Amino acid sequence: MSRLINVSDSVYEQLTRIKRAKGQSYSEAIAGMLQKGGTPGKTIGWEEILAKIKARDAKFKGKKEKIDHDLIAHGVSFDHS
Amino acid sequence: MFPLIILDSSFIVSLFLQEDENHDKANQTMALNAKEDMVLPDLILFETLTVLAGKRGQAFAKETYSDMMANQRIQLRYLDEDEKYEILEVFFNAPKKISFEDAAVIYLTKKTESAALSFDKELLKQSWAMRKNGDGSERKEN
Repeated sequence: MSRLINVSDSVYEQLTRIKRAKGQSYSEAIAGMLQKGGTPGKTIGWEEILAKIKARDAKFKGKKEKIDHDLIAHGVSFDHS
Repeated sequence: MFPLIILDSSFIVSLFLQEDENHDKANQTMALNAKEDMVLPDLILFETLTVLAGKRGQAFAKETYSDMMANQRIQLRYLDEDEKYEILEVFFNAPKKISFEDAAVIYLTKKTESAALSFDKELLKQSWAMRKNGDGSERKEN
């Protein structure tokens, strides 16, 4: 059952930003914030990923280079494979 | 304001590729922001995976994808039809040439009053101008 609740303007603004950013309804945004134990399937944080990257960095012997991140630079538009 | 971060492919690629000149900077920045809520637009995910697969192969791209999808801090954001039309407006009205993916990040930073994690100077410049002026135009000093 849904009920109207009173929140301050600043809380409402922040909630609206989160709702828009995540493409959710207000209910989903609030439920996500109240959820304990994380979203199913989401089991790690950046700490674990950064540790993995650091372990790979230790083995890296190559040179640094400027990498173009745009798709066209990678030939996506001219795929002959 | 509550911090919220929109991820850009230039940043994610630099973070995961050791050979990228911005790799160390990306690592330090991510370590500082590791506890923040981050939004990954679908277009940016696809662009990132394409670049990573091109540089390191499909297996590396798949592993990176799995790690990002398992990350509690990342929310994958599917852009809907209306939003894509609004992004097209940003794309066509950009003061300087940008990609459609860049336009998506600029659009989302404005819509959600968030910051972008990116190494793309033009994207950051236009994102900042749009948040300040509302339309992406340069602010004229009087």
